[in-house]
Amino acid sequence: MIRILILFAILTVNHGFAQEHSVIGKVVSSSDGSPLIGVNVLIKGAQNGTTTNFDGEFTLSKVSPGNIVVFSYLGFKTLEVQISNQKVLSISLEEDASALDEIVVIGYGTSKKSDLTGSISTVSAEKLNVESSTNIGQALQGKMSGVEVVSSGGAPGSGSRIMIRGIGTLNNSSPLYVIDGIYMSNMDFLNPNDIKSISVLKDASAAAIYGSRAANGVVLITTKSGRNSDGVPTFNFSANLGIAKPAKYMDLLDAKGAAEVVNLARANSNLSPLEMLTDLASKEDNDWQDIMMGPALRQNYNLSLTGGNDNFTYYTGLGYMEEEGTIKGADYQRVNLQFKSTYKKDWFSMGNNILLNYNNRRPAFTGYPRGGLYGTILQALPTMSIYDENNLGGYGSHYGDTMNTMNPLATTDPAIYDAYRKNWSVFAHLWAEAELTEGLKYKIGITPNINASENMNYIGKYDMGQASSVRNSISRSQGLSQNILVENTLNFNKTFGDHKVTALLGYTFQNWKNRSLSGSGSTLPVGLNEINASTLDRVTTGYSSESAIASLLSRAFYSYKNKFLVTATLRRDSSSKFSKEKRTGSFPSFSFGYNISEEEYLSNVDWIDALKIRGGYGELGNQEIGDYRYSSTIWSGINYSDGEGGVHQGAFPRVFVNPVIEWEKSRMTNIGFDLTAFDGRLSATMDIYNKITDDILLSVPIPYSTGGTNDPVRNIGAISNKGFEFSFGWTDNISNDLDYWVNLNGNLAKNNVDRLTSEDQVINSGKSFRGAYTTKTLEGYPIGGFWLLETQGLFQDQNSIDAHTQDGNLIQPQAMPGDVKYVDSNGDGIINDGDRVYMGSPFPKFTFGFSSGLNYKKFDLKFDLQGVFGNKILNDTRNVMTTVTNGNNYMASTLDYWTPDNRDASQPYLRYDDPNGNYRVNSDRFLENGNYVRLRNIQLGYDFPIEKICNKLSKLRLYANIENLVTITKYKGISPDYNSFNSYARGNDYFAYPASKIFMIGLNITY
Amino acid sequence: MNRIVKILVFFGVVFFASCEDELELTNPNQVTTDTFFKTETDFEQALITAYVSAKSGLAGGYTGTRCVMIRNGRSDEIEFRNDIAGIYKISRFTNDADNREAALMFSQCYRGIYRVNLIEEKLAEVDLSDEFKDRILGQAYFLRGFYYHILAREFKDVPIKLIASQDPNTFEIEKSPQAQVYAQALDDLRKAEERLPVITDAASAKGKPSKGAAKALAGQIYIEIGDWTNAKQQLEPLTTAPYNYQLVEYAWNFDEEHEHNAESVFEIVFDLSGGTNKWGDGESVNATQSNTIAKEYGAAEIGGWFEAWPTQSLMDALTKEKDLDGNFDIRARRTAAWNYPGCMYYLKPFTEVFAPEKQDTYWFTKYQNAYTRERETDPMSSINERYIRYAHIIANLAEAELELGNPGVAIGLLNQLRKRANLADYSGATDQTSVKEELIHQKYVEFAKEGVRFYDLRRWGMLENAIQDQDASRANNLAQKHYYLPIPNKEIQNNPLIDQLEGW
Repeated sequence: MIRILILFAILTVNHGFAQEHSVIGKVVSSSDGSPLIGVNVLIKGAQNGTTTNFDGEFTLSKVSPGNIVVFSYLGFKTLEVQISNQKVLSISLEEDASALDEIVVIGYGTSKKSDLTGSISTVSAEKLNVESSTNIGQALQGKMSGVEVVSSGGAPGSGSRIMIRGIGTLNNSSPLYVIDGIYMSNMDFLNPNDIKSISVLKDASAAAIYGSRAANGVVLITTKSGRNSDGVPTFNFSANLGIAKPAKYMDLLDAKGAAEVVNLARANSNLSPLEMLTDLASKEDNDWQDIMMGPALRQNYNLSLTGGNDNFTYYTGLGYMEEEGTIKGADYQRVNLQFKSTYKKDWFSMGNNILLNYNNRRPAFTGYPRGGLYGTILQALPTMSIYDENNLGGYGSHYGDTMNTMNPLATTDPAIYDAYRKNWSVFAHLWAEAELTEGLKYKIGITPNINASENMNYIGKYDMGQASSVRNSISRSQGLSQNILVENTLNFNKTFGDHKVTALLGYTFQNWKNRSLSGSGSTLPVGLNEINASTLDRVTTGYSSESAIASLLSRAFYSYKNKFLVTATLRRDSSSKFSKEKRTGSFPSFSFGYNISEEEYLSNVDWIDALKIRGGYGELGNQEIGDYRYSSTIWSGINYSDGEGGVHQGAFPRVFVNPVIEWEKSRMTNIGFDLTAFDGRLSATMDIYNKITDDILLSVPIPYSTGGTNDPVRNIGAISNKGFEFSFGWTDNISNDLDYWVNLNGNLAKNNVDRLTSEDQVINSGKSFRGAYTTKTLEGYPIGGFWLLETQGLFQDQNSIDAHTQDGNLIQPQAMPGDVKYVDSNGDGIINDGDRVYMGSPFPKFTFGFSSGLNYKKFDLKFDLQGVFGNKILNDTRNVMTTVTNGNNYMASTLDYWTPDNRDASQPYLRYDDPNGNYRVNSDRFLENGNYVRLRNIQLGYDFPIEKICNKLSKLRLYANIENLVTITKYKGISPDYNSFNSYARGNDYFAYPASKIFMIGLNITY
Repeated sequence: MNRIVKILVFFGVVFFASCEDELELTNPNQVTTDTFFKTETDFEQALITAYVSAKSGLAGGYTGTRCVMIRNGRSDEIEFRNDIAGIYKISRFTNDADNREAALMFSQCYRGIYRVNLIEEKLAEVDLSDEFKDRILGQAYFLRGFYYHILAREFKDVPIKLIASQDPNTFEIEKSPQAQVYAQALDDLRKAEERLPVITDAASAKGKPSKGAAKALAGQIYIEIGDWTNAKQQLEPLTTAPYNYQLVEYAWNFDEEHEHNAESVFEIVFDLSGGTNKWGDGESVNATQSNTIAKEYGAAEIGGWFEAWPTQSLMDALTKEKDLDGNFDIRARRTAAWNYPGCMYYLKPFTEVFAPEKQDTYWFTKYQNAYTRERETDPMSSINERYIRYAHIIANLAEAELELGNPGVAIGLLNQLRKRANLADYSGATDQTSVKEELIHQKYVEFAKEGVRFYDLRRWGMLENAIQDQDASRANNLAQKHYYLPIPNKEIQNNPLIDQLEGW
């Protein structure tokens, strides 16, 4: 088409002499034919030039034959056309596929991708499943190597957590989230539709500019801004509707099964049958999972508008989201608003970014003794009736020798339990930047943030046997936190011939203030829930805290001929959390890069577009512990009755402190290379890293005989995370109509405790509900590795029990045939804590993400897979659900109990009082492999040819998405995608909220 | 350009300097330690916290509900169901060193000891009147003696700590043999005795120890280690002036109305003052001062949690002898409720409260609100725990006299208990063995569910037989090691100088 036009243009040329004339034309994008606005049209070498208008048209005057007209536009390949006499030009510009000039957001600035010397992964909005995800963590999962995203429970509003390159610090393994320069502790409340791109700074040299907060890596999120559209707005609307279903139900006993198992266990210990499990015909047989769990609706709606002109750009986004829980009784709603604009006039620019958020969560009742609401649903006896008009409150109850848990359905009744957690937050980022001289800019930014919360808990009157509430009660709390961040930075950027220099110098200060007030009372008239309505037991508490951090930052970057790159960073932080002597830490880092592809001998190699090797070393600090830990204070309120209706006041310095705690230091070394090849079709990155965290801030257990009430925080030990990560991407088009992309990333990592305060120090942890220790942290093993008792099946007869001796004494004197055989690993003749041996790590050895998409005409299909290998999980849930020593329900697998006729049983001999300790959770019987591969997401979309249907809209896309469709795993628990986020006990699954399968459809409209 | 840089540097310095003070932040919710331990009020408040360690129900206070369950649970007088797993295991002799309730008991004792140690250290440094110091130290030494006594009798060999320190270099410590721990307790009680007043009016003591309490507890220790002479030396003076202890109506020792009566020697106060939080560790202003124990032993029919009930073995002993009016022993009727003519349980006839198939059940009423309320509703009872009452002194003195070869004196003392219960005087044989049997029986009946029986059975060598008679399957689990609780695992794991008790 173009060739014909140019030919035509040439044919209409006036022959003969050169004459100045005007040329008119239109510039469009080659990919979709849309007009390009603001394209620079210049005559090469002359001052003459213009730009295209809103329709992509231009008029260039005083063109002489022989002139070369240059068309240039950001993101597109520059085109040069030699003019002879044509008067009309039709120009089509190709998108610039070169990823090298891609601008990447780094801390306190941006950089060209080719200039990067650190390990940074970026993902743009198109590659994320932003439409169907209600939180960003889900959208990011499996997209970047070394970045692990785990949901923090499937409860509504629970968001997700990110871990970058394994656990480095133990107290808070979350990375730093920076959203448009605003620091946040998590990003769950942000609307995924507002996101333009996400950069993750993985190694120390990249993250160094953030110093003390960046020891776990940094996630930089850039939200959408306006674009130069000559002031005309672009509207975007999306609506999504979906159903979430529990991915897996547990296989539990019914009334008949429960009666068999529980009554047999009781009989074997000389106890009469459980009242609730006799005479089954007169009782109900309920499936509590069925009653309490089911499909849940989720919906979200977003509207945004964006636009701008040369001096002004704007972006406004509104979003609403609502989610019900797959377990009844909990839900979540969120409203987001974002207003972002920038104003620019020559050398001075200003801007603001205001984020408003409101969310409201109804949490599930948490007053249960075992496993939360989910644990209570699983343990509720099938014969408990759902309703019982004889009970105050109207719900059925447990009775007899059972546990005092509530009727789960009753907690969804607002007359029995009602609660909410509301939160309002405002972030206002205001900045101004001035270009003082060429290449030198000064920027000041102020970010105030206010967060207000309001919580309420109401408990009504009910009598469910042992669980009863005689008086109703109300408690309310309100919290207000404010923080203000002030940043001054000076930025210098200049290129002198072959040399390019950028420098950054800055000073920042941040202060947090937090205040909360709460009150409670009891015995209110039914129907009211204000504290003033309560007539008894009024209690109030109030608390405040404050912390601050001041920092000096500096960074310098130098490149020679775009070939040799060097970056150096130094940051100094002072924190209020440490005492004066230990307050300040210095954190340097250094990295280099070598763009091999710029060398002469390589620039002739066609297929390589860019090849860079890079390496770096950096030190970062961490101060994420509680406030005021270094100074000893007096606790009051430790009172004792005076026998006359009042109390004697008591006060004491109760908490053991450590006055010499100081910054935790993370040192990371990283070497890697980046390759782009085959005209941008192939991209590959590989990194090897070693991250050592020294002077780790740990809560170290102390013996009881010290008289302390807590385990103080100390700097002890060093932990290393070594790893290798890679990422490959391939994108190509098979024909004009069909193109596809494939992305594979993986991470191999090993976690090790290099050193604690002494060689033989051991930190025991992972304490189960019944008090048994399951993990140990000690030199030479991963943190929180599993140390458990080894078992060797079940004793099949008395002879094998009698043969299990040490020095002539029975090792397990209380065992009977069918009981578990434990191995006396330390040979002392007794089965106790000293027999625990190392059995595996809760950290995966290898994780990978694989995603792919293809676009065929107007259809698009994409999917991603995620896999995790090499970690172990302790299935504490299965332990509780097979420990037949109480009057509650159990897993169906308990029917496979040992008898002389069923010797190959999975459940030991059923005995209520369990003298042999069969049900100890710290044994290998409950340790399982956590390997899994999951089809995380699959999405099919269709782009309607809207211009044919309705010319009032410019784009209409419809899509369907399924999340968590298939998981392949041998793990017997509810979901292998589990991380307890407790550093010492990462892999202990104790009634984790069940994961969901989510089916969503949605549509996206642009105008 | 230069000027701009200068201005910016200036601003930077100014900001930095002014912000340095902004980083010096102290906790606005609590006072720092360097201003405490200066005035009399400070020491009085610190001392109060040492009492709280004896009381907290769920965090190992010895007179709080969970420890009362441990103290009673290993004898033949009581049977627990499996609701509180740790308690059930202890009672069935299937516990191990991970047991939570035992660990809390251990840790709470040391918490109390730490508090006394710090008070002692700080008192020496401060300039207050000797009279005030003695007043504080008298109570402090009593409490330390109380805690070491518990550690010795429950865990056998334990570390002795007499210095309060948060320095990690002092954390590793060896354990001392039980005899030494008892000796430490006796030494503390002697120092307490020197300083504490004789309180003749129990009502003014209100939960505080007196000279008599120190002597009574020392006497108890001497009985436990078999030192009869010293036991008599401590206990005999308590039967005459200036001490004014008397046996009162039996029921008065376990109710709310007659707290701090003439029989009370050392009482721990529970009442409804304080906050509403029943389930914490008792150390915050919102914590309740009441006890959940009453609801725990009540039958479901009256709103209780039926955690435990009397055994057949106990009932046999309680009902063995009738009183002079032909009724069951008042001590039986005020310890338990069962289907006897006229029995009332929570103000209703027993036969009406329970369904026909449950008429054969037994329920505790001692320390319950069974005689004043119709139901146990809130788990908040205000009945004080009488840790030492005059009857304990009488019984211990009787044993000491008997072992010293004075059966006649022993019989006389036991008759005081019998008389109070409206029983005839002892009329059996007067030889050593027979009187011993009577002593054993009287103690069983008098002190049921008061945390006495297990320790007696243990030192008399009668534990195995008694458990065997009560429940053979339980006896099957019982081994020599169960005489004492194991040292909790957290201590073993973090204190390399300590090793576990033999057998565990």
